[in-house]
Amino acid sequence: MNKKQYLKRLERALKNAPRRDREQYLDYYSELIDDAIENGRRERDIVAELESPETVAEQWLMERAGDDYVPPAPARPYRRSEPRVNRRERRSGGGGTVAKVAFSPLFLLLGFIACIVGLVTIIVWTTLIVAFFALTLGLGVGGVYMIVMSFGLFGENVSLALFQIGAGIALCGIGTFMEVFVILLAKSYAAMWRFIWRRNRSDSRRERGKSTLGTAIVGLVLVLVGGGMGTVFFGMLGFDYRNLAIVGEVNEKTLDISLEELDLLTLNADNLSITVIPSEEDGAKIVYNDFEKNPRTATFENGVITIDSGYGENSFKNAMSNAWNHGVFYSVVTLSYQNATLYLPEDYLGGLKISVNNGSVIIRDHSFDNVEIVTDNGMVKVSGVTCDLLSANVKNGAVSISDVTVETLSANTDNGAVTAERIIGKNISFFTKNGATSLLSVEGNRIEVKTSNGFVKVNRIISSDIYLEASNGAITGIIIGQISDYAIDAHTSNGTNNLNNKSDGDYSLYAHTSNGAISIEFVSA
Amino acid sequence: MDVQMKKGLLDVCVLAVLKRGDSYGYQLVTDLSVVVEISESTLYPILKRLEAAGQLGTYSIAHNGRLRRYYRITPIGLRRLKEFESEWREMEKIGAFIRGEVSR
Repeated sequence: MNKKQYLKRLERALKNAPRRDREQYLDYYSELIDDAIENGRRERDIVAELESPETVAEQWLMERAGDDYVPPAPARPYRRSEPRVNRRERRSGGGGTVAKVAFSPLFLLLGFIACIVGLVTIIVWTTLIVAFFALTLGLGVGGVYMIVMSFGLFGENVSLALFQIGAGIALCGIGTFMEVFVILLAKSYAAMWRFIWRRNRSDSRRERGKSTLGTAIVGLVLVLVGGGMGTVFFGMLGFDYRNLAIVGEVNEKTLDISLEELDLLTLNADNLSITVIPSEEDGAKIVYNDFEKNPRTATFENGVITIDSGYGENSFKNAMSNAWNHGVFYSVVTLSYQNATLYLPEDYLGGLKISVNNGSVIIRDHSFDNVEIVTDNGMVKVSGVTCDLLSANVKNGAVSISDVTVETLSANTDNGAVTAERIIGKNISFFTKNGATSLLSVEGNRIEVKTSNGFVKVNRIISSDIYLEASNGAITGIIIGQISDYAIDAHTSNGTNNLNNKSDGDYSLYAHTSNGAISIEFVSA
Repeated sequence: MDVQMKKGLLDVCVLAVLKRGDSYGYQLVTDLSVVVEISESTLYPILKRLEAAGQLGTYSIAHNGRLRRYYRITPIGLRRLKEFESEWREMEKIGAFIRGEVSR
């Protein structure tokens, strides 16, 4: 063993000692060894003659305990050989007590870097712990929800109820298992703190292992029990996922609609996604689904198609009672059936108004008089449509308009992106409160694009009156035309701007953003 | 030698060596081992104890690029030595008596 090894072992043996005592021991022995080496002795020899580090530590323990115990003389008779004539090369000593370097800039810089590193580590660790904890909580809550909801299901189908309980237990099990990661992260977090502040590290490693292992085992058992239960009863349900929902009969219903002498067709629906496509037959009809448990009816009166929500008036309460009575999976599976398709014959050229409470709207390949779309929560997609006026108003969803010929187009959404491609019109305007806007090959007398939070991107647009406004995003793109034709009003509060304002020009380009670059290019067709 | 007795004697030996002049760990062990069996790890707690009792003091001096810890005797330490000397005379008297009786 050499000096370094000896001192290392000694340090470890004294790890429970207060720092000051430990350092004094290290100093003492380090100095002793150095002096011996200086006096011509060999490092390995002198170290071999010292008491073992463990004995030294034991001795420290005895002293501390107040036991006035002096260890017996060493087993080997103490030998001191004659100092050698030729001095050996002395190793650099120094031991633990380094000469104090007071406040040099280098140390301040290192200290600063250490602080930053420490801070980053803490942030990362905390985020990880929080994320895993949220995951665990979510899984646990989901599992418990499923188990609780199962009790209402027993009335309907015992196998399904037991399956749901099994699935719930399994979820809780997975959550518990995830908990292990949270515990491990939290404990290594605490260990890191202790390391930084160098407090006494009690040897709780074994206990630490036990509680983590215990939690993992509980989680695993829950998963196995729940999974087993679930599988068994799933088997009893016939291994058909649709049986989970016991949706019962899914009915496809059709309502024929007479468009005779109709100028405007209105469709009002709740919780339905609507698709409007060309009909292959002569008449119009609307096709939708409902189930035994939640019947829907479509009615047509005075040009208005109304489809109820299937949940009755109080949607939320009924949805919950649905889950209670028919199981959690039911409420999920039935979601896939919440759509209706409206088939329109080619020769209907009247107006179309679609108003949906909670669902998206898709309209394809048709000519209309006017089209008006309103939806609270769902996207709007219009393609291959020709009409005079196209207006889409969405609260929460994206808007996508493509291959459309109009007089006036107005597409607004509160929260969602706006995409427009291959549009020809007179007066075209897009507005989104929170989302990006992207135009490609749009031609109009006036084109207006506004967004409060997102960028404006135009690609090959043609117009004599262009109005682009963004609050927090760049305005970029390509305009087909000559810059000399345009009077330009371009301004950004924070970003580069490649346009120079000028007032002469028959056409007009307005581009304003409060936070973003402006970069518009003019190209010839 | 009896452990307790040895312990007390070692303390005093250290003080005696230090009375001759300040010294450091390695030197102390070298000097003491001439007269009594002592190891580095035996010496250390003695030094600590004497320091705690105020019978010796320490200071450090730079030596060849490292710090070397020196020990010096204090007035309290000197007093203890004096006390020991008078006790020792007592011991000598008793020793002589025992020898006398044993050899009788």
